[in-house]
Amino acid sequence: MADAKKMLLKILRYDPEHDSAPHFVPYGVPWDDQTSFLDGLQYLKDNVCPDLSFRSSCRMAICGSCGVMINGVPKLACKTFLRHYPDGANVEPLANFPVERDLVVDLTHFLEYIQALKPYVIGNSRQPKDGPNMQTPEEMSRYHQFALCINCGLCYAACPQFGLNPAFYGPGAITLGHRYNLDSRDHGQADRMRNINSENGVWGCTLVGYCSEVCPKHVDPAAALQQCKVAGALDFASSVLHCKKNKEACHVD
Amino acid sequence: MHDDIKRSNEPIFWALFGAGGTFGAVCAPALILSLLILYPYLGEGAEPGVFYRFLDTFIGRLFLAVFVALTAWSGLHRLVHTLHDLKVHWSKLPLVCYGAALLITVLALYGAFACP
Repeated sequence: MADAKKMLLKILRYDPEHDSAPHFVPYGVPWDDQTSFLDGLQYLKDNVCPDLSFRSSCRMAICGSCGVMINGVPKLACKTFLRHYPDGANVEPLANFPVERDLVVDLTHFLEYIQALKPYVIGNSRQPKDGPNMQTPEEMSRYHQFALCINCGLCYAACPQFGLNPAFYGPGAITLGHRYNLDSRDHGQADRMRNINSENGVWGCTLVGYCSEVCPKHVDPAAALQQCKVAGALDFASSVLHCKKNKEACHVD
Repeated sequence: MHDDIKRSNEPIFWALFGAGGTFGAVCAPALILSLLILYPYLGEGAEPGVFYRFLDTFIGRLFLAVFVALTAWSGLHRLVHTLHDLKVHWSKLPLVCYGAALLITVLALYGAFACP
């Protein structure tokens, strides 16, 4: 690869122990038509700057670890190829998240929101002896698209509302919660709706739609959030009716 | 993590926003064309045509009032969010905008049914 042509990558470097602010550093990276940005970053770490920090694991767009901003657009480094950037590119950490070091961001918010939205089957008392919990193809098709999320966080880097208000649960976590709300095996919708219908829940979304544009798995989180709003509005209406009957059980403040 | 979960009152305004946006998109072009541009040409001789006679009925007047009110709710809700996007975080902004929408609703109902 030493004789290969080189591409200029400007990488936003930041070492909190030495740098007062993140700054771009230019690097020449040898490449051919099959070189991904992750390959380029790994080349730099192996040969040029061993202290370069970035996350990666599977190298095949499944683990969702290697999200970065490439020329200002959230991308998976393993799924994006240098051949599409003949003039070079700027590589930065994911937008809207605090930077820990170089291309590594602090995903704590995102992970806490996923936990809060309880993306797992709730309230299903079936036991293994009951056999498989069958679903019709139609029941599965309601949520299947939303189940393809790999938790890469690109939608958060694309979401201007999460950028304005980091307390917003954001597209990824709400989509995961909604995926289980749509699952016929699940009975936890009422539990999740408390968070989804809260002030930092789905109503922070203004349907910009950029989350769906950047999603590497075509999950279409913007569609999930719109469906969530309809479910949220119905939940609101039913809670108002329920509150009239039983004020103590109501969680409207 | 959000420990203090407070239910949002946004569904009310989102529902009005959605209804106003849909109603406006469907009806506004036809109403603008028929009431503001083609009015002189759509009469039956010296008499107003059937559409204008419909607008003068109770249902027609209610239709016009609801049209004005819902599009006002839709536009002012959009304004609240647009200003939020522009980092205008004035705490009384929703009160002012939704108050204005409520006022427009009252005026639209008054205008539709108080006019002879």
